[in-house]
Amino acid sequence: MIRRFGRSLAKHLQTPFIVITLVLMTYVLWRSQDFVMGAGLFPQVVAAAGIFMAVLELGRQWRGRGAREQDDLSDLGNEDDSPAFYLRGLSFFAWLALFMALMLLIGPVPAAGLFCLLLLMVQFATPAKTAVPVALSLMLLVYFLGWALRLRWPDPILF
Amino acid sequence: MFDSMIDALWILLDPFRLAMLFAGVTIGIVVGILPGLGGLMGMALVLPFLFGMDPYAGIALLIGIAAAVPSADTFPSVLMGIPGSSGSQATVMDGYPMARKGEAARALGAAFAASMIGGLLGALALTAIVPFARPLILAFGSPELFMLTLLGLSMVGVLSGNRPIKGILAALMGLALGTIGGAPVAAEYRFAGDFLYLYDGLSLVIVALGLFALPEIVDLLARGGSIAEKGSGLGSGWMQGVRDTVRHKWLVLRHSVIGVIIGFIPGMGSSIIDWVNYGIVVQTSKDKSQFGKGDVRGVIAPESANNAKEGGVLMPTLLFGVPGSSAMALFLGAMMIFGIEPGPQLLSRHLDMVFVIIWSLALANIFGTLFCLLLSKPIAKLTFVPFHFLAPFIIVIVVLGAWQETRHWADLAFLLTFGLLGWLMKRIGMPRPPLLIGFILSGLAERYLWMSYNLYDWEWLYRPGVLIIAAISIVLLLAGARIKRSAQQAPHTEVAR
Repeated sequence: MIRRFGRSLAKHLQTPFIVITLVLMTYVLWRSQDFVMGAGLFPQVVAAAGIFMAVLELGRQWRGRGAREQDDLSDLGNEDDSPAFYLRGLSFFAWLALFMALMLLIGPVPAAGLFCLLLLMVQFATPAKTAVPVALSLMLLVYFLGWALRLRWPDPILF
Repeated sequence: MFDSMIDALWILLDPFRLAMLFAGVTIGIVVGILPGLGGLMGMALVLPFLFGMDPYAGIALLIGIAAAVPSADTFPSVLMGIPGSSGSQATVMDGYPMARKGEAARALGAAFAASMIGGLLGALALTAIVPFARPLILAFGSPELFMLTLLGLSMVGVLSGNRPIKGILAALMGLALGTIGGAPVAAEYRFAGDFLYLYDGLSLVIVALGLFALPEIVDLLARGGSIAEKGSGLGSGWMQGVRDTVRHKWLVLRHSVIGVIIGFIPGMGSSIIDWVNYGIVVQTSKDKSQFGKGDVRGVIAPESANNAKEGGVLMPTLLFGVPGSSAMALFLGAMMIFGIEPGPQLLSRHLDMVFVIIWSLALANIFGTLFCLLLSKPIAKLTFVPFHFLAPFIIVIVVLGAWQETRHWADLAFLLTFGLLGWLMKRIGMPRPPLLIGFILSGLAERYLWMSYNLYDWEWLYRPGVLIIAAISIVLLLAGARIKRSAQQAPHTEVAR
């Protein structure tokens, strides 16, 4: 039942997605009216075509409601559809955001180590004796890459 | 001419110059393996060291980097589903599913063998084109270039599988995203507001990493386990990959030729080449059921074209001083450092340099492929390591690679935004490759359309080159529709994994 709810969620997410696309395409069309001819022609054509295709897609979804869609060759893999999978996925985006914030706050080398430790120990319950060497090697790698490739890092906000 | 070729080989066989070529290949492999960094970055890295260096050695160093990146960028594409550079995006489509089926070494073996043959064919094509290049380059006007961008967009029909409406909509979203920033043909900034970061438009690296890298990382973490779903060892899969390439020799030849031709057209870029070739191989194959699920032909075709294109992009760069790609613009700058002016006079004044470049390209492809083949077995073992141990490394490298784009906090914000967009698109079955193709082609399509209209009014529609390319585009679109029909009619065959 939970799995069916997940499939239903995926199925129903696509309609709001297309509606948002439709709204954005309408904005592009409306906004590009103010541009000079050379700058406005292309976005107008693209947005008009986008509105047409979005309406067509909404119509297709309405006609095919209830039917299961076939797999697509451009999908890279068939993942789990359960709500738990969705939540886990979103939580990892939060982890990504955390690393980005840490990088800006304390600099990339310590941020990489701290992020690695937190991710392994908090999210995956990895013992410290495994997590610490992994975090140290990651810090070493980041330091080495920065030195060898002369990469420029953000200046840390905190120190 | 033959004497010059032999002389050039002797020039290059000098130990210091060969060492520089090796150094270039090594840098190219490192830069290629790291997602987000490409040939441009590698060349920029060594540029300060070129002042005062022997010109042949310096050129060998740069060509070594340019030739090795398209081979090495296959590692992240196959092993992690993350494009190593813009030229290896299509390799993800079948290379990554192969890795998940425990066939990473086979995919890498096939990719490297195809890359080497493609690279050598590119060097051969560059040699052959030298006497006849000028009329060919001049035959491509802006109308033909616009039609070539449409040809790239027609790939959407193929890459959308059985969801053509969603695919076209995604491509239009990409085209619209590509209009953000300065208009190419008018002094106007569009959809940027007062946000300076957007005045240059969105970065391809950020969009590609966000759409393809982050969703795969997040899904793998959420799923748990390792990248490869089955298989306990790699066996001798990489030799099987090499044999696959030999078995599909005509495929390699065909796509190398296509890679050279598209690379020859300035501004078309590596990111288009691999998608065009992937689309063609899907359309022209009798058995299409395994594409997107781990068909080795989906790895061989883009990889052979990807390396062959280096020969193609060097043609306008050397012969007309028109950079065939952004990396080649830097290469032109390097040639200027050495006091060598590219252009038609290069053939009369520095023919030996032209052949040193060609030999460097050929040797760098061989060295690069051998290095990569040697590395493929140990690196492919990574796919059996629990992914949560690899994830911190990949996340950190992806984020730091994205940061190098403009070193602005907005790089990170857009990376995350496009990551969420890609993840959501994956969840709702909206194909992501068409969005990327639309984004890549947006600026080119707009510029060439406007130039064609300004120069020829609508008369450009009747030019022979335009009609030929239009016919090819229509054939591709119709073939895409046929795939869709056959996919709907035939019972769906899911491969046991």
